[in-house]
Amino acid sequence: METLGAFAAALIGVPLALYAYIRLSEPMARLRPGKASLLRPWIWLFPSLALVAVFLVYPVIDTLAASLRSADGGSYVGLSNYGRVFTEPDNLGALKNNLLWLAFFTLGTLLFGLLIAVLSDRVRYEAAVKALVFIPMAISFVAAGIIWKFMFEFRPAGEAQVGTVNAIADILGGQPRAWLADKSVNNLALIAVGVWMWTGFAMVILSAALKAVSVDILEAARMDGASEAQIFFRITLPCIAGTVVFVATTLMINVLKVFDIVYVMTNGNLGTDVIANRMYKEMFNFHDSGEASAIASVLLVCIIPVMIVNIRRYRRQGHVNG
Amino acid sequence: MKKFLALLLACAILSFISCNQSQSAKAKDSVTVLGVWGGQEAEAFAAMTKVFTERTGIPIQFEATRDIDAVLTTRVQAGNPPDVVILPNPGKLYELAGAGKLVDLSKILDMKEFDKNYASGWKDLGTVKGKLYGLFVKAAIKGLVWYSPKALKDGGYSVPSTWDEMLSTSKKIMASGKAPWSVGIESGSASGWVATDWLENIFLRLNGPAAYKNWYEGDLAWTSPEMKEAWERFGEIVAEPGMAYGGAAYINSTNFGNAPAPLFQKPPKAYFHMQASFIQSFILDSFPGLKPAEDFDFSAFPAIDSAYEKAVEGGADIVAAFSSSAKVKSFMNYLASAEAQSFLAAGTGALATNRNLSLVFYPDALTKRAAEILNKSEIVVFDASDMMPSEMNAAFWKGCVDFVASPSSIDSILENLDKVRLAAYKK
Repeated sequence: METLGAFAAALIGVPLALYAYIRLSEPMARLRPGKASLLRPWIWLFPSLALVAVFLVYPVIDTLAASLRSADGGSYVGLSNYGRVFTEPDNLGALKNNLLWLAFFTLGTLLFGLLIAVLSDRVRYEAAVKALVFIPMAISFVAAGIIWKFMFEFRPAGEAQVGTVNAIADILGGQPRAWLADKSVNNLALIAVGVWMWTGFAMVILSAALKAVSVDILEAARMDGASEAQIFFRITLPCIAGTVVFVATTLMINVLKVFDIVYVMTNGNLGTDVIANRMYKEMFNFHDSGEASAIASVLLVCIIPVMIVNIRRYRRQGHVNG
Repeated sequence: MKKFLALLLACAILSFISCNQSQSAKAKDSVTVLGVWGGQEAEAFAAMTKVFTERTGIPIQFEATRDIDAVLTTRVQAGNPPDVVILPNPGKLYELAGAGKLVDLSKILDMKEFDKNYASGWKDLGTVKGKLYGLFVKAAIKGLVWYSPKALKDGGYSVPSTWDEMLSTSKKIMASGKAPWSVGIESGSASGWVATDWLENIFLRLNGPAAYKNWYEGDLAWTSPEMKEAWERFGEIVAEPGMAYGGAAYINSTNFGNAPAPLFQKPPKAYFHMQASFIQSFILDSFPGLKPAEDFDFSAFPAIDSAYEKAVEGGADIVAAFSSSAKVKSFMNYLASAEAQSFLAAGTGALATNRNLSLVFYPDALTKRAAEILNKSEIVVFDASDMMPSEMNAAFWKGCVDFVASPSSIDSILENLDKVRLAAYKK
């Protein structure tokens, strides 16, 4: 009954209120003849701006303020929370791992996405291949984490391997590994899960860009005797460079925030922690809103430049191919 | 047109408010209970409260949440606490009691009856500054050693009762080319807690309950020789090659629920497994054909110092009250009774804290024996890691995982834990 009421209020109430707002604001705009057309867009924008201010701008400012305060938000402590972000071994390990993720996840996803997009472009069953590669995008991170925990399942050497990865290693004559507990491979094992999930995203967008490369140029190059490799590196790749940058920056923004996979699969144990997981622990396990906010602010500052590149690219996309 | 729209809007808002109100009216004559119980536990609780409601006419409104910390904090701050709360560990109880939010249970419980029915250990654990705030219910014994009687008989091994016997039996098993122990400490975001149970049981049997209390209260340094000895003894199990099935890789990557499995494979891959009484349900889930007490059994954790061999580590959920109204009073007295606890024992196989609960209510012979051990034990201590501040507890879990991965870093792990101790207990 309660949910039904809330649902009805959202479904009927919200559009009604918006409609009423616009109808009622019209006389307001007309109060100042001549200026009405100047005033009107701001009146119309006001609800969205108010929502952005309340749900985006205010929390950001509040987080920045909290990052300068003590664990319980009580006293002002200056930059000491930031000092801890950059000196505590746990945080340094997490920062280092985020760099690992940034490099290997972005490159891996981009390479596999591009490879599959280019190769599938030339086969008849393209749609089937792309659908298969894209499916992991539709799975929640938590579910993917659990699926891959089964994939990485470990049994001591000599036993029947029940985890797919170790079973394959077994068939090929290799030794089973505890992929998530072995410090030399666990970060890469987690990154592989991320790549598996996001390759579909890179592939779909890069594939669309590939289709937009003019057939005329490609044909002209072939007439001139260019090899397929030359065509790819000299023509196709430059043509889709803009899209590659867009995909790369989007991936970077996502990878800096990586949380779910690590939380579900290792919870940052054995040297696999990442910044977002550190932030969660500080906030919800240790109730230290100061350090958690400082970590969040550092994360925000890291993401902003990537976002600016991305938005610029996005704007230019209107008149540049790809 | 405008009038019509306004009317519609008003109707939508009114219906929204009215359905909220009907909800709160219902809550008025009932006792509201907030807790973490779900599934089997919630069913047993419902069966238990049904009897209470039939008898007294007081309805019980149970609200379950897995995120009790956040929900309870918010409701207490908003001045809208439940009448009764069921907490999963004592940390929150002490916090609420310290803040003066809880009702002194000695004012509402029949204390003569209480003292007759409860071991003084449970009473002490629920007492803060001389006042009783927590009623412990639904207990489990931690640190039992599980085994397959048949496998032991086939191998010609006996159940060890002391640490030294355990080591010599283990050596014999290793000599036959098998692993004596199966250990698995993976548990998602709580990985490592199984190892904290190991360390707690070792520490308790080495140093006794007083030192144990100093430890979880933050007065004992992690770098102290007593503490290091406990870790080194744990290392005799997890760091010794061949001692634990699959070595560190298996220990750190195996979920605690799957860890008993090697004991029941044919032929067995390991012979002993340390876990709380609740692991029985996991064993029966994986191997439904096994019979408790026949195909699998447990014995007490091996004794180290004979002075503390009767010590038992337990875990339990805790009931506390925010209101001392007549209906809450009658409900709390019911909860403390053997009758109410029989529902939990029969429905979930959990152990009752009320020691006058007849053993016939337990679903099988093993649970019955666990209950007997709990009732007869002279020293009951609570899971130490659960009593620590959350930051300390989390660091303890993580330290255990790191120790299993590289036992030689024991000193740096303990130093790091001590740094966390100095910071965590100040808050």
